Formats: sequence, structure tokens, C-alpha cells
Amino acid sequence: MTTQLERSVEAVASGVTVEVQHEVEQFLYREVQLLDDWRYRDWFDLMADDLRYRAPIRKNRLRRQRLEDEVAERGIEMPLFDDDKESLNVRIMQRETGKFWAEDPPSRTRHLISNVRISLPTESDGDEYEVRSNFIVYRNRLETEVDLWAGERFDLLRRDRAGFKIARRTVLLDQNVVLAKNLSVFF
Amino acid sequence: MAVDMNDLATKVDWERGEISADIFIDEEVYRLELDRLFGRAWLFLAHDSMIPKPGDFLNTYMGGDPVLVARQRDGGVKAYLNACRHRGMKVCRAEDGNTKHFMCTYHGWTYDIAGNLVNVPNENDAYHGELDKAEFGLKQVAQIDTYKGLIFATFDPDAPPLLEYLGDSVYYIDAWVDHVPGGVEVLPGVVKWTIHGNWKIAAEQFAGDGYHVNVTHMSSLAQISNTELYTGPSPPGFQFSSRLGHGYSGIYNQPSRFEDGAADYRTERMQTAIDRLGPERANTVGNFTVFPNLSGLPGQSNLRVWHPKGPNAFQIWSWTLVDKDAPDEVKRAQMLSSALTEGAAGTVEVDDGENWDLMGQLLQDGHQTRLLKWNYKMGLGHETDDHDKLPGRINDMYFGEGPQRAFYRRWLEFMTSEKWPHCDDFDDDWSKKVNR
Repeated sequence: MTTQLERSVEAVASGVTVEVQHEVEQFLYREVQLLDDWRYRDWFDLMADDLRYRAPIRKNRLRRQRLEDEVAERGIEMPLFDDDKESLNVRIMQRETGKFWAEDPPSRTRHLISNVRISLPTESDGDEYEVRSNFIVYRNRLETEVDLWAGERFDLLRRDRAGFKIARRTVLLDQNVVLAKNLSVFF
Repeated sequence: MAVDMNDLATKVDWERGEISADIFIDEEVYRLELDRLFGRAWLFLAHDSMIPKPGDFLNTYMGGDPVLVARQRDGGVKAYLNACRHRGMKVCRAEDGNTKHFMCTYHGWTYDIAGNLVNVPNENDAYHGELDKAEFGLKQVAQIDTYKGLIFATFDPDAPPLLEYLGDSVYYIDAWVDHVPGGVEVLPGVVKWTIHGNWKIAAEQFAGDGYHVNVTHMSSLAQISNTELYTGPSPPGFQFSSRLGHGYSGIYNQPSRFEDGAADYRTERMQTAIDRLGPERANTVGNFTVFPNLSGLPGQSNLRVWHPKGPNAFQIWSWTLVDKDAPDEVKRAQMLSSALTEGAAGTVEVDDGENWDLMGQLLQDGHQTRLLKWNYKMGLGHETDDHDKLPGRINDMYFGEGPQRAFYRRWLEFMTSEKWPHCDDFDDDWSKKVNR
């Protein structure tokens, strides 16, 4: 079985149209704007019912024992987060309580999305795209707190009438020890 | 300028429940902690299940020092400083793995998994065959031992045996390592993150601070779980303070905070645990600290170490502990539940990070903030050393600060003692009063 990583590399030459490239990029830009505008419920509404939103832990391993593909799951392993739509909704509800002190006052975030690479999943009937993109998320909080996170997102986008739904997102955060007091932002 | 011992005792007035904020930020106090506390105390390294096979190793820290922990061919465990004996370079940069030896990538000195120096480049010409390799193995910890799968070590050859160090806390430790016949294991994956604050804030909170839950975690626990327990008066439970500095706080009759898909298993397991341990400690959820920096959330599968990284920084290394013989769907449910609530992104834990980090900022920049004496008076004078069932000093409710006072009492003894601080007044016969 080929991994998601390998499929994506193969698919670079697979003929995704300029129009699709444009549509997907515009979707990703609008999506992160919702996060930066603190419109978390609207962002949540972009998720498909079968959503999986996950961030594996990044490992420091010897080259000969390192994981070729840190996106893939290997058994039951602790992630940084691993949500379905129901548990992601819990996170959104937490923000709506008015008692979520870690985000009150809210953090200022800026999500920069780039390097958007699109491929068609082999088993797809044409309405799904595998999309890899790179991100930098800048967080500035209260007076002087700054966090800067870089990484990559592996998305499965599914076309629907209004545009796309996010059916899967795996976030590769480029940190082993998370260099922040918390991850109270979305990626 | 050395730390003045009388001054330190004034700052840590555990008897009156007043602790000076200065001990959470002072550089000299921190350096003394590395020497007298982390250089002496039994520190948690790993659980057996993290390094099951010969050659399995992991990197961790004892205080500020990097330590390699490795499974030996005979099944034993060794731990030694991850620092080459030639120039002190790190001999292994991987966080875990399996190996036959560690080669320092500076000059090539190579050690086997027992820490013995086995190869030195140019030994015969440059060293003229005169280097005594047996003298230059990696620096071993002074003592290493396990308690029911929990591996601890100390740098101090004069430290008492591990079981004596853990003392009456083993009665409560058993509630989360020995509640089922098959024992526990740690899921792969360590969630590691960084707080700009002092490690003691986190350690004392896990020892005894149930009081913060209603307020700090108002948006998560109170929303997700049984709201009556997390918004009203002190929930029915208890607090244990050990004379040896350990603490445990438990809420009764609350097998799990969350519907996590493992409810049937939990119900069944609870009965097994009660049969094995009795209801007093089995039927609880809560929080604990094994002095000084091992903590966890029994009932929520969580175990963690607070690694100090300076007076105003620490890392949290957090694991998920599951019953070894539990079905995979139960382990997966516990993984998902832990990921949702604990860890850097956990809905509960993100609010702890906000507290601890801001407290650190106030002390970093301030002067008046450092002069404050913080209030640790909750429950003072309302504890008993003679509970009819439970060993240790017991507060008969979940809210209180007895475990914190016990933590700082012991901390002060470590900090002000020239030698290992033996507790002459500790009751070694504590186990006689409990039904084991």
C-alpha cells in the first residue's frame, strides 16, 4: 500500500487543472481567515461529518530508525490532538462558554498558507482532493507573548455545493517539544 | 551569593501556610535545587513498558541533566548521564530507539548499552595503549530500582531504598498501577511542551490543588462532565499528605469524567479494583505528586514529569497509562479522551498553561511580586494523622492545601540539609493500619 506521502508525490504530474488549483487555494485562504477573525463556529461548519483532525507527535529518532512518513498512524499512539467532529465541537463550545480563560482575551493569530499541492486520490470518483499545504501560524497574546509555528497540513477536501468540506486534516507541526504554554489555537 | 538557610526557612513557613514567591524565581535557589533536591531524590525515569526489549533505550532528564535509560540483555535497567567522558558531548540525540551502542559523534568514543566504554579511536597510537577504559564508562546513577513497573533512580548513594523513599504513598500508587491483575502500560508517544514558570507550581497543584478546578477549568470540566461535581461545594473525597512530601487528592464515586466509549470496561474494572484494593482508594479519580516531580491523574490515565529548565521554565512530559490487558478499543478510547483533555492542546490543560506561564511572567519582571507571601492556609488544622482507614495525614475532603504544605516542608528539608534528610518522625509502620 502506498502512503499518503508517496501518492502525493506521484500525483504532482497527474493533471490537476489551474482552475481547481485556484479554487482550492481560495478555499484555504478563506478557511484560515475564519480562524484569524475568531469565527470558530463558521470554521467548524466547513468540516465534513466524518472529519478526522489530527496532529501526530514529531519524533527525534536515529536516521536508521526514523519514520519515513510521520503522517501515517501506527497503532494506538498519543497525538497532540485527534478529533472527530464531535470532539472538535467540544473545543468550539469551550470557546463559546465565555469562561475559556486561555483565550480570553483572545489570542491574535495570523495563518499563512503556501505551497499548495493537489492530487486526486486513487479511489476518488472526482469530488475529492488530497491537498498538502505549508503553514506558518503566528500567535501574539496579551502584551508580549509570541508563538511561531511552522508545519504542513495534509487535507482531504470534498467538493460540495457551497465549495469544499474538510474531511480529513493531519497537521505536521515542526516541533518535537511544543515551544508554547499551550496549543489553544487551531491549525 | 549563596542561599541563606535561615532566610530560606523564613520564606517557606509551611506551618503557617505562608510561602514566599521568591523561591519560584530565584536563580540561587534553583541551582541549589539541582544539587540538593534533584541530586538526591529518587526521580521517575520511565515505565517498564516503554523499553521492553534488550537494547531499547530512551532519553530523559534527572533535574537539569540528560540521562539515558536502557534495557539490558539480562532484563535489568541501567541509567547513566548522556554525556561523553571525553568532552561531555551528548552521546545519543535520539529520544528513543534500540541500539547496541552509543557512539559520541565528536571524537568517536563508543559505549555499550550498559554504559561501558568499549571503543576509543586511536587507542593504541594516540593514547599509547595506556587508557584505562574501565574507568571511563558513562556516569551511572547511584541507585536504580523499580516499583511495580515504575523505574526510578537517584544520583545519591546515601539515599534510602526506593520503597522507603516512597513510604506511605505506595498505598495510593497501587491504586493506579496495581488495580488490575495484568498491570498497566504506557501508550507510545510523549506529549512534551514548555511552560515559562517554575516547576514547583505544577507539582504542588497536582499534589493537592483540587480547588482550582471549578474556576480554572470552568470552560472544560464543568461543560463536559458532571456539572454538579465541578461547580458546587468541595466534592466528597479526601486528601493525603505524606510526611515524605508526596500528595494525593481523590474524589469518590466518579469513575470517569468523560463518556469515552469504555464505560462498560470501566465499570467492570472498578469492581476488580475494589476487590483488590478496597473502596477507599480504588473508587476515586484525582491527582497526585510523588515528591518531587512525578505527577498524574489516576482515573484519567495520565502520568507526567515536570522537568525543570531553569528557575522560570519547565517542560511537561505527559504519558497515557492504560491497563495492559484492556481491549484495544478501550485503549483507543482512553487515548482519544486523554488527547481531548490533557496535553498541550487538551481542553483542560490549556488553561493550566495560561495560569502557570503568567505567574512566571509576573515574577520575572517584578520586584514587589517576588516579595509577596502566598497563602497556603486552606484546611490548616483540620487534618488528622490518625485516620481509621487511610495512611498519612488526611484531610476529609477534596479541597485543601495540606499536600502542598507537606510538599514544601519536605522541600525545605532537602534544601537546608547537608546530608540526606532522613525523617526521624516518619511512621514506618503505616502499613499495619490498612487492610492490604
